[in-house]
Amino acid sequence: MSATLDEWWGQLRAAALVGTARREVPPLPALGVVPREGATREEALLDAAALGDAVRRAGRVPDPAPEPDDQAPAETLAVAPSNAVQILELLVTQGPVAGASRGVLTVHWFDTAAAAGRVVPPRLLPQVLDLATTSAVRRAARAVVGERGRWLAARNPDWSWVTDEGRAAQAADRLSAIAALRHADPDAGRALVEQTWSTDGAQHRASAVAALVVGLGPDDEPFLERCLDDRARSVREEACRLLDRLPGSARAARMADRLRPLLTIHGTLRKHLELGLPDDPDEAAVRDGLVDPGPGVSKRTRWLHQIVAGAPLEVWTEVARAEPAKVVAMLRPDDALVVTGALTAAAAGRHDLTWARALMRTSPDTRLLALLPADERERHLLARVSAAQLGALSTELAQAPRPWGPDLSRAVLAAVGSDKTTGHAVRALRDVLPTALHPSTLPAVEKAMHAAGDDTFLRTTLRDVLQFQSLHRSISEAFR
Amino acid sequence: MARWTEAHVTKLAPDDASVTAARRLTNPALWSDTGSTEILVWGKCQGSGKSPYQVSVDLAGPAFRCSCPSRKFPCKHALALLLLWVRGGGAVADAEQAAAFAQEWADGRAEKSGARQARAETAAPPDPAAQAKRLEERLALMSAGLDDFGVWLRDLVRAGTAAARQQPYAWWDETAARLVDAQLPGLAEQVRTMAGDVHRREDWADHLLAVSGRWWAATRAWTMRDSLDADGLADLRTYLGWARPTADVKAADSYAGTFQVLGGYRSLDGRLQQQRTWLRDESTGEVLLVLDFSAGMTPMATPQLAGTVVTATVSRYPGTPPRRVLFADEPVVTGTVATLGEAGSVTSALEGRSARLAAGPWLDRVPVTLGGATLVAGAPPSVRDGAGDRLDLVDDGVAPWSLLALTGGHPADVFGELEGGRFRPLSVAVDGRLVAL
Repeated sequence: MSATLDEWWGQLRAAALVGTARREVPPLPALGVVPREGATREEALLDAAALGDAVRRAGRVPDPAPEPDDQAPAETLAVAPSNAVQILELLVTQGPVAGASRGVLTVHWFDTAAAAGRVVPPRLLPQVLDLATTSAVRRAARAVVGERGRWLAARNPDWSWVTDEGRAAQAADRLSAIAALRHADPDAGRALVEQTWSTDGAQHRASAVAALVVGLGPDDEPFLERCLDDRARSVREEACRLLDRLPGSARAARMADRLRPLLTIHGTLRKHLELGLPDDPDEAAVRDGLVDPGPGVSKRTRWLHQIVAGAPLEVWTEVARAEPAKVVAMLRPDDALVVTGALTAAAAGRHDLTWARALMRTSPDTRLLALLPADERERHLLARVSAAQLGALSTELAQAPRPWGPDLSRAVLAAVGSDKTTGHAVRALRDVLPTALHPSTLPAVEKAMHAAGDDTFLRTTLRDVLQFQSLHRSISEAFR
Repeated sequence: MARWTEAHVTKLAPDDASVTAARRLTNPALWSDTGSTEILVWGKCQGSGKSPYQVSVDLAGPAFRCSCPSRKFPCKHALALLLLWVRGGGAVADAEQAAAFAQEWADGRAEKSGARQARAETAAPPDPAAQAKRLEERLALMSAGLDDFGVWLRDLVRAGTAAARQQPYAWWDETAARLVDAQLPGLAEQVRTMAGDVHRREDWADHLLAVSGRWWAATRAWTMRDSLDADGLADLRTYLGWARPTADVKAADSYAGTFQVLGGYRSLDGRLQQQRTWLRDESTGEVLLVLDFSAGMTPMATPQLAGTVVTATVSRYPGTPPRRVLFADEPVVTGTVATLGEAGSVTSALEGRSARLAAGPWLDRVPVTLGGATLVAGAPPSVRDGAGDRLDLVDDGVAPWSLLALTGGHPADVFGELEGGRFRPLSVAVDGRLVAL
């Protein structure tokens, strides 16, 4: 559009803004159009607007483009096979299964593709990048978005995790490197932590100490003991947590000395254990972690907890002169309430199977359950699975390793199907069932689904189980 | 039904404040009894009151209902529910059956539309004399409506566009309602859209002035309609919103042919859903437009996929090119194509638009194939042709990520619509395939 035309349109716009009641209409530019005779001011302005609209639109010339962006580098990996792409498309656009199962399947797709050296097709990248909102999915997605995905993500702040978390991943990589090394050679893993100890920030030092949980052993004690004098509270706390797991350590012995005076045997015929509360901690005790817990928490109960969790469990059997199971029975109900948590933590942290079994009888706990051998654990759950108890068991079932064994799977299915009042439990287990039920029970799942009748939630849940299993299998097969 | 994107949802919002408010309500803890079927999404949102608001959304419409007292439409609760639903985090799970409150509402709606349809079907058979009389009445009604609209336009420019911008929505809506009564729904829709545009668009003063000029020209053209040729009159009819019965179109100008599907678009805005499909006649090379509508519970015609070749009998509507057609029979897919054929530049696209405007100034949407075009992500994003010219993309909230992902910034042939001077990419030829965007 020419400058004069632009100028005229600007004048026309100004006149229109304030209105013809207060402003003259600018004369038409030389376009070979003669103004209509006898038109009012309003009509003249509207005529001019119509003319200007037509001229401005029809006379438009192209605008110069900005320089094009860098082009995406060539893809080094092949795109996933077409039947795998179809499944991915189904996963990202339709959500064939609900909630967490969808995430599990998506991660399964990504992991299988990564193992096969394949990538997501460019067409699905925007949806895949949008869908990856949890760290688990993102971690898996990063391996399969390919050159195109990284190039694309660099252009959208919402997808900055593709490259940003690359940085976070470096820190995470170091931790996983520590963990990996600890599996093979605990001393070398600890040496890796100590290597950068003097330059690491408090947060890194704390997470590095926490990473030593893998392959923890008596050889780590000197280092952890030194950590008790660290200037960062988070490092001292992590060190205490790990030393709690080393009943042979000097700190454990110190805790034992603090525990013994608190335990007394009473009664003659029916002996029972009585538990006292600790006094204010001395300097050494503070160094061992008995610090003021702050407002809202009972100090002495807290310290008792820490002492019980840190002292060797043998202190109890020695003082009571009885087996663990007997010791648990000798606790007064009030005391049991207070210390069972700490005893559980000690038994779980030290993988003490005898104590775990003793404690399980009165207070089942998922951490203890995890210590039991697989078949014993399943028997334990199996004994308790019934329609009435399913709700109470849902947390333990959710935390049991998946897939469950055939017997447990069948028992849960039977409990779910037998009683219409299990709705709450079905809801709690909805995300668990697809990955937990043993593949051999699929025919039973199908039967239960048909028997679900008008219980839509149960029916959808069971349909999801079947859908999940079938998609899971299809994904593995699609990359073969 | 495929889940929408967040952009689809935000596009439905009456204003930005509603989107912001809705985002604050996307905390799943505020929601209960949520669920979705193929066509309904529902849930209860805990507001400030004692009992939660019941929210139902009909996806086909889309239509909304909420028990909250807000006069915004759709309200923030409906928007928040849809946001939760599109995010798909399990907060709104798929269900087989809709919640009772949602189903009752949907049934009520279906009943009403069914009753309307039944009334239409039981109408008496045509009687030529009565028909002529009805046409006469309609023309008189339209003429009176356009006269009235002309007076409104004069008042608008006398008081000034700045004053018009200060007017409440009701002022625009009342005018639109009068246009509907005068059987001018095309104009009515534009007036309603303008009510939002004067606040949404940065160039609102230019836009309102230009569009007022176009409206004015339409009122003038109507008074001179006897001197317009058939195609010119047809374009004006389309602009005013005077629909042509399908049977008339089929009877007038039908032929069988083979057509390449270039691309399509489905708009989700407002009360009426529109589906556009662009075809190229393989024998003549002419580009044709199939326009489908659906309102309420009526399902949309099955979309034809970009890159397929179909044989079908089409019937042409009168009007200047690009001609609108309808499928007189069910199209049969006979093959696929991987390329878009002859492609042009930004200059040729603008020239094509100028020719279109010269033939009829009312309709401003032309099909364009850009050869070797590169997407430039910017604000606004644009496409750049080989000559270094650009066309900004239509800003309808849908970011061009698919196009960017597919091309990786490499030049490719892109088909789309040039609408109001901006480009809407619809398909791209890449990796030996024609891919719909």
